[in-house]
Amino acid sequence: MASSKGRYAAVLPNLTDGFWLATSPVDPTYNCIAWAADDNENWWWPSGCPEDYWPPGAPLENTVEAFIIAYGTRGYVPCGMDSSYESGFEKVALYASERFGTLKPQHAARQLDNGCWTSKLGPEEDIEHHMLMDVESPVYGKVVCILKRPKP
Amino acid sequence: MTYPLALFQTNTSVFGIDSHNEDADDDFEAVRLDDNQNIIDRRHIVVSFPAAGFNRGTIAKRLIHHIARTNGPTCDDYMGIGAGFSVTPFPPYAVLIIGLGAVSAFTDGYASVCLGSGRDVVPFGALDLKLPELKRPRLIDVSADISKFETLRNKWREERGVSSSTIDIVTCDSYQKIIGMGERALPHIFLQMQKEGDKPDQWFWALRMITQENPVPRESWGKRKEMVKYWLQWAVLNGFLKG
Repeated sequence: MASSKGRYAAVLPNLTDGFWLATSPVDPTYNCIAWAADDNENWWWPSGCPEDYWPPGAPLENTVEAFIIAYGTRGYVPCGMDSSYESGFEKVALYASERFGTLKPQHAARQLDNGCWTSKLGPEEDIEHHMLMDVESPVYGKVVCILKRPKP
Repeated sequence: MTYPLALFQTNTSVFGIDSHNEDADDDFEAVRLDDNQNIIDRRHIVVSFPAAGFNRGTIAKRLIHHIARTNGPTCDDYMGIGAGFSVTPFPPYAVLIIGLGAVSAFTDGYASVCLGSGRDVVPFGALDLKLPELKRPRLIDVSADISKFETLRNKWREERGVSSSTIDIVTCDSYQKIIGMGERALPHIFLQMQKEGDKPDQWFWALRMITQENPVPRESWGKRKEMVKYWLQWAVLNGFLKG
């Protein structure tokens, strides 16, 4: 699938053409948080709204801690900031930006078997990108935590 | 055979999922909800109206919607063979279906009384009962405001960018302006949802804000591909989309 060159330049300035690839059609029914957890059926967000899914047991808060607990329901545990590829493990990177003095999660990416990362760009498409910093941006913030679980 | 009367007067939010085949019997799954939107009853229903002179799909949907609104367990294999007529598809509205095991009178938009075979229903005999106040289907000219809606829709998609935050997405200026259009936005939103098929965009928030309703059962929350079906059904039942 061809990449949509320049399409995201304004919002994801680190995304350099030639270093990422669109891997799905646009689909507003799931988002990055769901996609990182291997779910392409639900829109994960701790809003409490009927249109959003949030794992039972995870706090309905837009905090890094709540997102870690949410991913914990799928077997992920924090592993510091180690984003290196580890055979036998699947990793998720959580991005957050500071708002009103607090870190607010905005994005998540999942590591692929080739060591690259896959990100769902909000309601847009899934992309594969080489490095985590490719999607660091004002809108997504920076990586604040890496989680991992044994490969299912 | 007796033809007991079922009087529909609850405000319980209920709806059916319709296979809607104009050329065949209509199969439904009727779902009844409690006040917390939990499913408390689910029934498979077959309605057969091999009658000419009216839009069977529309009639059947209204019938099922109305049957499902009752608390009476009268809906299993609800069969009707008969004739019918409709004056207009929207109020003033009158349809009479006379059939084997089912006689239904439709007035005032939604069916108000239904005569049919079943259990635990009020005995027949009071067609002149005062009817409960029910919602009326409404017609809004879908051509009105279309360019305004489309402009706001396109602008909203630019404004939200690649955000995954529901709150950020629905608090974009243009999305708020769509909500501000009120009921006039509804036909456009529903047509947009129809076009989007199984990849519905985030129209649910706007629909809940404008209508102050949520026809999606709790078990389907978060599953947007399922949610869109309930909302489109709601749109038909409330006269915002043709059946």
